[in-house]
Amino acid sequence: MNRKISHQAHLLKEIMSYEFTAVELNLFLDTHPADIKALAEYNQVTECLKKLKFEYEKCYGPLMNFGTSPSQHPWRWIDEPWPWQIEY
Amino acid sequence: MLREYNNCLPPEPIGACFPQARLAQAWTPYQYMRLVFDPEIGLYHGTIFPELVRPYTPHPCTSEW
Repeated sequence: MNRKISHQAHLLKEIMSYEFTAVELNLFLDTHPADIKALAEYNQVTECLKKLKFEYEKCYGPLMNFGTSPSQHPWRWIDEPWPWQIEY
Repeated sequence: MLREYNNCLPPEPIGACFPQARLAQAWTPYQYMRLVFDPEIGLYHGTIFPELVRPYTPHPCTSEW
């Protein structure tokens, strides 16, 4: 695995784990809407996730298409590797 | 209003795997937020709540899992 892909895979894994934590906290908050600690944790995770995605997109192009993320020039959505080519 | 089913209540379904199984009612205690796993560990366990880490083994009836 070359160095660029390793960094890319590392960032993607971090994004996945933070997204999973956000889902868990989201579901917890659905049934515990007044839990301040859970809400603080959720907001912190959301902030980290935003930073991680920004860093990823700066290095490797948009994570999502159809208007969700901007792209540098030239259009980066078609950059390789494709998701199934990344070794975790 | 309850409609009659051959003059009696409809029979309770019988479980295929456990014939003695009955229709369920569930109670669960209220969950309080205590410590949570770091994101990477949470993803590994499939939950961020340590009290919910309960790996289970397949029952013989569902051995194909």
